[in-house]
Amino acid sequence: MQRDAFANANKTDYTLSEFIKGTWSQERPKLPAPDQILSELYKTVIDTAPTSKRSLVFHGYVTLSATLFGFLIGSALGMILAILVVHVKSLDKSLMPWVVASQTIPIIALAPMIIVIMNQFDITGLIPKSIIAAYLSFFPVTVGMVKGLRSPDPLQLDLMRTYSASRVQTFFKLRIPASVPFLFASLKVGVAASLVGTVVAELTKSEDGGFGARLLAGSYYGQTIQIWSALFAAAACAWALVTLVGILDRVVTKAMGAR
Amino acid sequence: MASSRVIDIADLSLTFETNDGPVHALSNVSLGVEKGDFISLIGPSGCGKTTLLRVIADLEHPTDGSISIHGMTPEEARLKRAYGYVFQAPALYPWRTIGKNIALPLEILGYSKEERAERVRKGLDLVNLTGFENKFPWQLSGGMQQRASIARALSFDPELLLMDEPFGALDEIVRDKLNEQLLRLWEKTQKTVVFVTHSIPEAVFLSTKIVVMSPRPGKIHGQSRAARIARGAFLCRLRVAHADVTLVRQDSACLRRLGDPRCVLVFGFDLSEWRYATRCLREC
Ligand SMILES: Nc1ncnc2c1ncn2[C@@H]1O[C@H](COP(=O)(O)OP(=O)(O)O)[C@@H](O)[C@H]1O
Ligand SMILES: [Mg+2]
Repeated sequence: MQRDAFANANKTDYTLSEFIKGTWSQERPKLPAPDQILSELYKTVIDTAPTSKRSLVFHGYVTLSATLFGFLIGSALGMILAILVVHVKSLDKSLMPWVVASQTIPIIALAPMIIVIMNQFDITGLIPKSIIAAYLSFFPVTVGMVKGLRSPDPLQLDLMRTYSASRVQTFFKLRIPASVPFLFASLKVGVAASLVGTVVAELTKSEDGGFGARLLAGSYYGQTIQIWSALFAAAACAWALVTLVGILDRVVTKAMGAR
Repeated sequence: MASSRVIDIADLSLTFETNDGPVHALSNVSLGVEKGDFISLIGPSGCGKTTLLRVIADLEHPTDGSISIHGMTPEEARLKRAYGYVFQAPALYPWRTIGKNIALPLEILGYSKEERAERVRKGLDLVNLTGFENKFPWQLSGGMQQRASIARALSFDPELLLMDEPFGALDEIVRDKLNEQLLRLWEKTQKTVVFVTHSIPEAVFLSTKIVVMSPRPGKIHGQSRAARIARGAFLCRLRVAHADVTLVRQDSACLRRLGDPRCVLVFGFDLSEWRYATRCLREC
């Protein structure tokens, strides 16, 4: 490619160093150099006003708000499902296979369907994206929470029985606190999955912006630098979200006597 | 049924159905426990001591025979919170502080906040853990954790205390100390105690009555009580018992020189005749 560029400019006697320099500073490279991504990130994150549609901060806000909203719905749904599965024997057999099956459908195929269907009912904006984010995050939360709620050992359960504790008391005083470490582990997975879900949804529904929309626009116009910087920004957001959940985890478990 | 009887067990049997066929854990066990008794169940590992205690606590259901606690079925007794249970492991909830662990049964039984605080304070005092209220279990030694679990079992003031090898996992010095504390506690509170152990000295030291169980299927091999043992049998065994006492004394003297509080316990304790007889009985 760089050879083509030099040929176009009728330049035949280039040196190796000129060649390498050229490959690292193409305007529309296939694989951009790190400094090109950094300067693009700098330009779109700091130099551009956050309200502008060309600011990555704006897109980040769009993605993050949908992610967090979806994550909240997904975690709540996941916890409720887990509680049901643990307490209603028949649901363990009847519901769990569906929960597992739901995750075998590729989200990339499901996302456009959900968005198109919801569009028909005039549900647009944040909600459809959040639903896809929730769809991806409820699963790890359900699995982790079920495991956590079942984690009390027979001795801890026997103790409750000697007090003739009711199911509700056993639930709140034993099962819930015992499940907290498991819950946080799966929340970390869930929040990252939410972000992926939102980005995938934005690929279909790009008019509101978001990292996914940036990826899509970038690939339309062959703007690899834009793709890469959106990708890095999304990765940074995922890292920040996971870290945030991690900090919350440490604060809560510390208050619950973790070493 | 005599009203002073706390526990009445007649011809109790329990068979566990397992994949490898039935396990006869208990067969035809009969036992009476009077109010204020300190009963020890001793016997080799796997002879059904835990199972018997769990039947009393309504944690297992007998396959045959009858059992009543204060004239009620075990389930009724459990629903009335008639007993406190101390497991072999402290079983403290790791996310609760020691104070909160002791308060756990009080929360479940619906005591008011003030009442809970008061009872936790008393409980900590009873087992010498004052000042550890806000520590988490992992910050305490095994012996302290087990003491906390005893305070927890006593916090709601049950008439009956069921203890399953509570000091089994502790080293001997700690164990002796806890035995002494437990005895004082029993004298102070006048509870009825059923205590499982496989240590004969422990049983002899603590109990007013010892129940010896034979290996599987768990049967009651013998029960000791001063009045029950024939005078002749008692005398002829006294020599053995006496030798044993000398041994204890010598040990204690050594310990006293080392400043171990155990010797106070050995000398200060009135080893009445039947306690030796108990030991003789086992040696028959
Ligand atoms: N839940 C159970 N299922 C099957 N077998 C059991 C169960 N609990 C105890 N047992 C068996 O019953 C016998 C008595 O056990 P246990 O009461 O724990 O003895 P001990 O406390 O005297 O050591 C043992 O052989 C044990 O393997
Ligand atoms: Mg046992």
